[in-house]
Amino acid sequence: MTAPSPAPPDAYRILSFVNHVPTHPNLGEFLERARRMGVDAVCSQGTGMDFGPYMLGSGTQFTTDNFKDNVRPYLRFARDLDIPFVFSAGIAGGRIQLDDCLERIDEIAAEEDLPLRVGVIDGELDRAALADRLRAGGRARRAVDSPDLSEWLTPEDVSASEHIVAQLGPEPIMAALAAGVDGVITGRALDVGVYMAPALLAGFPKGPVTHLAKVIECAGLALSPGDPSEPIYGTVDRRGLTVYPLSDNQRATPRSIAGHSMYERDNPFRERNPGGYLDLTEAWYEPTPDGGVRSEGAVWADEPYTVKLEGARRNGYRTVSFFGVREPRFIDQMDGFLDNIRKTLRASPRFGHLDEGKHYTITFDQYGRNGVLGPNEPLLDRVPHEIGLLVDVIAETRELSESLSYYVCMELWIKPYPGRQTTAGNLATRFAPPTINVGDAYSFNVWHLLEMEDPTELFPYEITEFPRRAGGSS
Amino acid sequence: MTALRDLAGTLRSKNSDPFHTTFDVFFDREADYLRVKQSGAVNAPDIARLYGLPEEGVRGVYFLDAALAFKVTLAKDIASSDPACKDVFGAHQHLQLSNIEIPETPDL
Repeated sequence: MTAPSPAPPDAYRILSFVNHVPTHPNLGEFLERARRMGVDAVCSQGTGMDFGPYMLGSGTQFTTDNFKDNVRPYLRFARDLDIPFVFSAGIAGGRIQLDDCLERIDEIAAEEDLPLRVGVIDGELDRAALADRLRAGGRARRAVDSPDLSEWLTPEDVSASEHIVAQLGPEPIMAALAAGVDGVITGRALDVGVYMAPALLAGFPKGPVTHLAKVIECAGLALSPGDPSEPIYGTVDRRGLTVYPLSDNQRATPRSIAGHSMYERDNPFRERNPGGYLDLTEAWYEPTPDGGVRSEGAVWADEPYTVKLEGARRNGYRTVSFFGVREPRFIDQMDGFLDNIRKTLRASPRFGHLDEGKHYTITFDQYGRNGVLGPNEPLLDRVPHEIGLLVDVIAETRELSESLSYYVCMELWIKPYPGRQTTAGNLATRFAPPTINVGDAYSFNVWHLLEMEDPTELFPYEITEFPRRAGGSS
Repeated sequence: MTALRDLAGTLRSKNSDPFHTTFDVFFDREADYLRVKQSGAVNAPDIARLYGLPEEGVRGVYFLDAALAFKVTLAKDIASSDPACKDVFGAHQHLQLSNIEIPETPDL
């Protein structure tokens, strides 16, 4: 397959990959094809809140091994062609996670003998400064209507959050790119902004650029069959975009591209972004003779500039346990039995003074019955032959969480119920020890749009040379 | 009547944010897509009932002719970051939607 894409300045050509997924074994072939097609920038997103609030709250990420394996060949590629790279990094993308990823960049630069001049942009906000800004009249309205969020962000929300990051937009990245660097690495950033920045800097219009960014932000997931471990190749010009696969494993089809335009979005025709929205009402998609898909018709509409803030509050410490229930008489009485455990706890000398819901929560999930869909399970009345019982305890402290969990275990093991025959134990215990300490539990309490005059004001870049000198200070 | 799952190709759910679940349903045949779209069986009041939500909890039902697809977005009754949430990614919430019965296409 050959894909003669139009050459600059008529079009801007972006190679896109996702940097936190496992590396594809045939990546070398894909990059060779991209090299033949011509590339103006290599862009990759590696942040997101899909995994929930735990990593943001706790300042962790699963591993930076995927990041290191993934970016290594793309960094080499970008430097060989002397084209810019833009990566967002660290999943939750707080300062701790970004620093971990920069350590891996440092290792790559040293191992590959690949000097890199990088504009680094931190996506985490200083909480005290943010609280001051709110007290001084700064405003951030909740991004979605939910009773879990304050309608307007308060200084109290900010201080209750362990970490707050911003989905920084394309503008701070453009400022860094314009400063004469090899590339830019950010913490938490707007996914599409990572792809928009170099094309906007090259002067292409915001409608087609933003639409291209949306289509290629998950790399090969937009192709058929979807696989985010494969890169994707996209070009943008003044009227629209064209995207191509880089391997014979995948095809670009109008349906796959149109379908991906609405992936993980609440409204498929209107995509909200900092400073405006992308209107896809009139967008059309057609195959090209050379194996790509062409789209035109996306329109950008300006709105007041906001950046989305994300923050995680600690709920308490989580301890879980897991059991199997096969005894029909026990299964018949399960709901009442579990209710009785709560009542016993509330009446107990040790826990009676605590408020369930305030000092602790206990969640019983009955897998095999309603473990996935809860009260909305259509087959709620069907009696299962087996139940997997998950007990999830969250309490203020680790000690309280463990103590409550063990108490529940004892009740489950030995508490009598009417008609019981199995007096040596009520159910099967999966683990020894029976309770598992998971760690702190968090929830999102900041999901707000911060009003800003200048899109770059909170997100200065810092130029860092890799490899950083070893044995210097500290 | 035919269940939606037997007419759809891809039928998926995912968080659009921690407080909303969005469903994308794709069809392999235009006739199936049009049958579902024109039947009116995919509608906010019925979806609200299936998911135990008030009707305003259905944020939108959108049909995309270009993709032979429709999208439904729902407010979650339990946010994906709530301790009691049973589906962190919202990736397994499609069942009730897939059960919707689609009437036969009327004779044209």
